[in-house]
Amino acid sequence: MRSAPTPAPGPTRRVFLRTALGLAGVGALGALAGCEVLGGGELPPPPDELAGFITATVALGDRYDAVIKALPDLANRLEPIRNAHRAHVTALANAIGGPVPTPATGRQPAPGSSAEVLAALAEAERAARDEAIDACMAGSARLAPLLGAIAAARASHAEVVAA
Amino acid sequence: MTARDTDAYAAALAAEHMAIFAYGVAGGRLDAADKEPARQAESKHRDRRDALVTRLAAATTPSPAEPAYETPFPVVDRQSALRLLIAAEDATALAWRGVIGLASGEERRLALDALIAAAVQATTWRRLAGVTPTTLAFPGSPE
Repeated sequence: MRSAPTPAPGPTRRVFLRTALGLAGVGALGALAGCEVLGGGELPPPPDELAGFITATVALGDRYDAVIKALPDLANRLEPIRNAHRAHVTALANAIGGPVPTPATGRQPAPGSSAEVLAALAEAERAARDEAIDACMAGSARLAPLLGAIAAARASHAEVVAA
Repeated sequence: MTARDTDAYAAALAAEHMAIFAYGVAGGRLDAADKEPARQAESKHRDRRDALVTRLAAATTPSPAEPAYETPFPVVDRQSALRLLIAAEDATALAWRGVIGLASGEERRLALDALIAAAVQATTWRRLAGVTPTTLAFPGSPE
């Protein structure tokens, strides 16, 4: 049985999913517009615009690797988040046309109980969220949407990592 | 406000209208413990809708909400209600991400805060619905 109200008849009726798909198109348009709106006024970003941010993002993923190695019981919870940080590194490197840095191995996790380690990761995610917010606010029209998505991902990680 | 800006803000407004509708549909199917977070989330969507109407009114006539939106699946129980809210938050994140690159300063911060709030709220609903993974690598991306 459908509990959703019967949609109003007529050509203006919007289908929920179709609206979402339509928004995807607008989002893509917005991304393109971001490149064009500044015309010739904005030079391509220098390759080091995000170098420090990318290095910190690699380190955040490395930190998860070390925890997963030391506390394998947490792997199911932490691997998707680690993978997101790795995906962010790749997306950032591609966005500035630089090489994708390789993760470090052999990093030692901070000692502590699972609860303590997870609380520390949540704190690291909140700090990383704030760095991404700052980078998004300072970023070019082209890079800001990606940096905003990274900030949003980190904010959501902070919600679940210690939950 | 350029035509592109207007389009992006109008898409965000459409998403907020749809999200408010989704919370109305889902509300009756949620557990008692879900209702307060749902009420707070809906209230944030109403605030953002109002902020968008104010901004758009300077350039155009903001579109009102449709009388109803057809949900992508029947909302018959708590699980389908939570899935509807996840879809609504994801669509909202997508629309606001489209504003970020066009805006700067306070306007960009509004869009960024909305994107972050939608991603976090979607994660909350995924967790309560038992949907995994609970987070997306790139909230607001068409996936």
